[in-house]
Amino acid sequence: MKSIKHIFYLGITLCGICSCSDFLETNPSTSVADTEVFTTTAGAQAALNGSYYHMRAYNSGGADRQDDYGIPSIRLISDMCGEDIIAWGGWYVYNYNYWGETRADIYRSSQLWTFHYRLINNTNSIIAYIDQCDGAEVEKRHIKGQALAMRGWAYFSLAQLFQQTYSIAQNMPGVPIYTEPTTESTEGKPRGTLDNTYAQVLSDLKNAEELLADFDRGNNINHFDLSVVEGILSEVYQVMNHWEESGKYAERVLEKYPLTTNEQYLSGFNDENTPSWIWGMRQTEEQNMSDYSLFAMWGNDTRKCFTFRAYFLADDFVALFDEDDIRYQFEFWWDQIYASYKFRDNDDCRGSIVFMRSEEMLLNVAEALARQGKETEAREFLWQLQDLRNARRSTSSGNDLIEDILIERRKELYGEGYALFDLLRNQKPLLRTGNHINYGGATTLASRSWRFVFQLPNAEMKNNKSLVDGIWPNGDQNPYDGVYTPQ
Amino acid sequence: MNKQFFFILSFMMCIPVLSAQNREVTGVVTSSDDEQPLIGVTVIDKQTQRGTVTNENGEFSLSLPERSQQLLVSYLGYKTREVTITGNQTLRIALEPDVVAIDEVMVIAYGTGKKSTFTGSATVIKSESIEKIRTSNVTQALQGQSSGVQVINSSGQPGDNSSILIRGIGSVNASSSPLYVVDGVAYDGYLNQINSADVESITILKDASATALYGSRAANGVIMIITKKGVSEKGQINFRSTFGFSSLAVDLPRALSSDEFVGLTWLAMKNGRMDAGISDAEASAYATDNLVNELKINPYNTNKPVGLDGLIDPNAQLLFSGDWRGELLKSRMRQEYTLDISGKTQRSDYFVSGGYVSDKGIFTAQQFERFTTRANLNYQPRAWLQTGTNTSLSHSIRKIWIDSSTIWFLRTISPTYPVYEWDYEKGDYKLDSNGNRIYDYGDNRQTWIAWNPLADAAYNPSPATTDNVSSRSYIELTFLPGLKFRTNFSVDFYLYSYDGYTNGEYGYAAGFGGEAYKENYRNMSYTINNLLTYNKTFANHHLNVLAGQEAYTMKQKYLMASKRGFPFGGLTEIGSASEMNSMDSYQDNYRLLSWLSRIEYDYADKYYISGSFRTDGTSRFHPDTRWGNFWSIGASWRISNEEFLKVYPWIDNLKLKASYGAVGNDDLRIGNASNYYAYQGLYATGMNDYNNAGVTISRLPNKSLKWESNIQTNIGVDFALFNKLEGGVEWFNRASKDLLFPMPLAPSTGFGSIDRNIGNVKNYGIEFELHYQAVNRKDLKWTIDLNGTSYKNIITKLPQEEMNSGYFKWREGESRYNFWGVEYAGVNPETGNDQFWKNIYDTSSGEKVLTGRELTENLNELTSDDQKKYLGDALPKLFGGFTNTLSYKGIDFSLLIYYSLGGKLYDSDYSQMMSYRTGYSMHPDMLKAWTSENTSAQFPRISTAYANTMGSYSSKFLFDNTFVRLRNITLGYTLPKAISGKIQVNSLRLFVQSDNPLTFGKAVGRGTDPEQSISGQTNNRFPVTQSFSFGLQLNL
Repeated sequence: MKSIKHIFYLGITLCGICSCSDFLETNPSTSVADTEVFTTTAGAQAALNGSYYHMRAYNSGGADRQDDYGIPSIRLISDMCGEDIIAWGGWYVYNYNYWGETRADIYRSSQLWTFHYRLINNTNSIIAYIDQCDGAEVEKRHIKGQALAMRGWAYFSLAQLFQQTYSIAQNMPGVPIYTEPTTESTEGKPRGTLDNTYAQVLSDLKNAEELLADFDRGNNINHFDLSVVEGILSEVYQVMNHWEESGKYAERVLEKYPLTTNEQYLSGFNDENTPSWIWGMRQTEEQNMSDYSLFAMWGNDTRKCFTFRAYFLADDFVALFDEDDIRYQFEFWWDQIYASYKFRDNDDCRGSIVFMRSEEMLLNVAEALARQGKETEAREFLWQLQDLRNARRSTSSGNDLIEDILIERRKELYGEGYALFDLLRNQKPLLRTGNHINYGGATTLASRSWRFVFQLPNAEMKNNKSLVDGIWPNGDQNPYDGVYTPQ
Repeated sequence: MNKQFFFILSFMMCIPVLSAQNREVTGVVTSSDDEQPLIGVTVIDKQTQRGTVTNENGEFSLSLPERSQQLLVSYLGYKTREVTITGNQTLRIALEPDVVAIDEVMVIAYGTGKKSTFTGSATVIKSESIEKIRTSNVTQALQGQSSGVQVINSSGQPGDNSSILIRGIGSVNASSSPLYVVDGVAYDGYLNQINSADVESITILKDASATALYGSRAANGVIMIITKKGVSEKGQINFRSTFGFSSLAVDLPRALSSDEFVGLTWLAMKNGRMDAGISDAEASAYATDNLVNELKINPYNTNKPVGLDGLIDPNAQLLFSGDWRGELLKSRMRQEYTLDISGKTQRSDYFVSGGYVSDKGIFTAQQFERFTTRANLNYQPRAWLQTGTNTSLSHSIRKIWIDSSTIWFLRTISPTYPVYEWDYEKGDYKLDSNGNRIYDYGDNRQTWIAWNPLADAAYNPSPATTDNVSSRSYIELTFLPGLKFRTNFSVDFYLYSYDGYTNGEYGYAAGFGGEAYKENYRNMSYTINNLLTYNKTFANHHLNVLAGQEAYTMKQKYLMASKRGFPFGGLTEIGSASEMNSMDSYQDNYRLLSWLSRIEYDYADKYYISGSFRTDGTSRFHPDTRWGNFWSIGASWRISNEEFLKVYPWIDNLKLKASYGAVGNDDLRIGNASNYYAYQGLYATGMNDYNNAGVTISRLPNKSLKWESNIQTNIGVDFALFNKLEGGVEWFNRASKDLLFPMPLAPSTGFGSIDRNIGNVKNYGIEFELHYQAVNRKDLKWTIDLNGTSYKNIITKLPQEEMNSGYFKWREGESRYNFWGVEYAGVNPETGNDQFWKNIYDTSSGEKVLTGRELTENLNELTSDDQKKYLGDALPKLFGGFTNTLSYKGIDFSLLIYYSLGGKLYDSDYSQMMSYRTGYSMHPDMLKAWTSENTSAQFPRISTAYANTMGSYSSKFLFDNTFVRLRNITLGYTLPKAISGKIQVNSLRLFVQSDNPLTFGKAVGRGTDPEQSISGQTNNRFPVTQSFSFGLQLNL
């Protein structure tokens, strides 16, 4: 019986030993504590890398859908809203049909909103903590510069999606501005005015311009360097109708990048090594958009992998091209619709995607000059492109010249994500004539229609205490429908 | 009084003298209903507590002192009798079956208890009831068997879990699932790895008094699965086999024929044109001319199969028709064999079993195959030492898992699209070099392109294998009579491995030469506990004390890799493929440290009180908040043992009980996955910029996060009357507080929400169980069981006044599953379009006043919150089961009905088929859609343009979901002993059964199975199946 007693005491002792407190400390295996990230510049660089990834990552807008890939998705949404492309099935088709994708209660507005603000919060942390990191000053400067460029770009992109264009809506509500990392106690910020938003955009981009002056991004086409920042500044000033500045910045970039040769133009727009590409993204075997990139959407049957065979060109748009224009790479299929061969995936189905190239800069310069009345110089720039592509030279002047430049823009840049932003910026109506009607796309919308502008997601209206939940002018929400009349 | 005293005193003084004079008492015990001898009956001398059990012939013999006068004769399932020893002749004792079984022993948390005295709320479901249901997952057998328990068998895939809720939904954003405990310890394995034939009983613990000892994991109730042990000295050999076939319990909506689908497509195109302002004639011409383009394939022998009148051209002949349903859904076999051998000796008992199930479901190539073995052993090497182990191994293979898109496909694919490639020139299906048809991957489909589920099943075998080891071992030391120390050591281990494969010859992966995708989850968890119990009876007092300590640790490891590009066909392993596609791995650790205790006391078998207390520390929370205390108190009063009720002999039992306590819930979730580190501020890794490692912000720090707690009250009455009717009624209230809510943040902060313990929810209701022995004669027995539960779910506190959650709006004082949305107002007979009610508000006074409502056809006007209206609650008002069991001589018959009354279902499975979308087939109801000739139609005009309401949520597709399901019907025949004895078997039973043969309810008419999710939503689930089986049960 004694031995049992011993066992009993031993057992009690063992119970005591088990109860050490470390036992209950467990940590995730694939996440790190926020406090550990910003100790060295290497950590800050990792946060920056994460932000770059976010800009093209699946589910970056929280929609968890195959049309939620950050920038490439935004570009496709923009193209779907224009007059040039017909979406016959595939993805983004509700944008094409104007079936209400701008509504506050549809995932799309939330996806766009969330994508940008997650990026902004990540960049805010980098900007706030980079100075306290251990590391070389030059590294810190470059990391900070890139983060600022990202933030500036994000606010610019938001401003274009969630409000009428700057030139007529400066005093309209902008988007909430955050410049500090979000904490548990951060409150929602008010919309302010669009002027406030653009002030932030310019301040960030100008700071970035300074910090990135000596930054070499190597072969990372997706990174913000001085040229990308200058290109974006050109776009920003263009939207603001500050023509001189817009032209100046575009020209600076144009000096550094050659135009796309015809051979390059005809080779499928899938190679990031094309010398005219200023900004874009690669797809790799590990990081790609699977069968949901633009290459899988276009109907031309050249892709080796799955294709939705969904995007075609409207016949009215094809009619804008001369047949001997080298960009006339169209085929009339099934006696019905024009297929375009502009976008063709590479052999691995992992083609790169362009976000900015020198032709846009050239057209920005031409437009800026034309808007300033410097028509001869404007024409010279325009002819440079028209000659190259074997298009007829525009000889018009005044407003017609500007229109010609805008048409050249569509012809050169279609499918690259400019359609919606150009409609808004130029206060154009949406006139879908011709064969759009056969594909449910014969929508007509007046200039400055609110249907072009996304409503703020319901969750923002409900949970941001600084916003008044009501339709403008009674509240902070954008109208869904109707036409905006500048005050 | 004095007399008694002297009586006892004289006894005590006589002991040494009398004990020397022993006599032999012999007897035979039989059952009163059939006079058969009873084996293993316990016979105890009341005076000396000496006892024995009866042998194979029901005989016993005891050597007892002369003073012994009374024997206690007890046997499970029979009423205990006190028998007076008279003379020297053999006692003939007939035991009466205890129909109401009030003295049954049941397994409770960390021990056992008597049903008659238990202060908490629990239901025991015995193996006989579990065995009746044909299932490859034991949880599915629980439906309709216990009050307070809502079991939703929403999946017809073999081996799938059912979702189980005990007394309502105790949480909003954390888990609402009960804790599963197998043989006393929380179970971490797969539920479908448990062989139902090994299960002795399942006890469902429902209130705090019953569950508080499981502390931080007990808030949603506990389901205790107890496996069998050897009980027969003679030894038992049981063999059981069943085989049968399945089909859908509720048929899918009838598939439109090609003619119907093509006709509707034509109409949609025509109407679409007219919506764009084109004239009738032009629109008809357009539709006729372009129909084939819209279809993308022409199944007819003419270019314009539909004429200008919208009718199929009489000369048009259908060339082919894709019989998708017939090819994909087939009635396939299920077979199951189980064998067990069990027995006991004086010092040991054993139960050894093996089982095999092959359940082929109803979908092509689908299969769930499982092999199980189990050994439950107990041994007592010394009087003070007992040890034992329950160990089971299982291995299962699941051939195909059908996801919702396959079901969506099945519902919306038109026979216009062939299953196999069609050769127009030949006028027949294309054949490959072996003369077989070639699967059509949908190049000519408008949707579901590059896919053929039938081909996938044939070409892409992707089995998932699960290996499960589950072991429960113990050593128990008895120091003094009543004082025991027990150490339990339990292990649950599983390895889930998925061998994904996509062939490189056909379909989606043909562009890159195929893909291998391998995935492994390895889970290992241990529980060690040390328990000290003390059991003491003195005079009328009885005391039972438990104190213990427990540690739990779980480690889950995940590993995934995928490569693409096989050199040629027939290869499936990663090693053979050329290009790295993706890789991932992670691990999770979860630990608990606990102290627990319980005291039970009763007086004179009339008054019982119990109290329990547990302290848990969990790794899931910050050190400052990780310790929580959970406790309960319970009391019961057995009124039937009071003198004043003893005059009514028809009252077998009457008990009042009440309990109160607090239990916890630490299972915070992200989506459906457990969140083990919710309090930490984190950056997620793996957010790489190509080859440069990257991180992004994933969580805000949240140190104050803590348990959800659940305050539970239970008041009930149990009764047993006339030795015929037994039952209980209970009222419960579960007040969940500190519920984890994602407190919404403005998304512009970069976060949609932050988790906070800020909500309260209450579930209260009433439940009853009745068991009625309608007839209990020797040859004829008939029992009726009925149970029902009605509960309400009320949100009592929210982080803000109201919150939107999908189709629901959460408001204080209302149910969490209250549908809110725009109210549908029927079809406008003039235009054929859907109409909705639009609220009109007046804001001129500065306040928003609802002044009226008007009809609108434009849902886009109704996007704001103030256009929503309460549309109904998803939760049923009353649900339960009704069982009849009948036996007559060798024939037995039983049926189980499950009913669920009230509750709404938002039927998106139906709505997805109720408008025109290019390439998708429709519901037959669309044939009755509005036309200019049929303006009173219930369904709106079909149009390519009028698709703006599609997918938009309103009350249009919200339906009442009352349903009744005949869950099981069984007919069996046991061979008479006279015959079975001749072939050397104890008993042989043959049976036929059908599971889910009948379902009644509105949903059936729509082709939707009424058993969907608790939240009243459909999601193209694999529907529940019905089955018809034969079987035999053999006892040697």
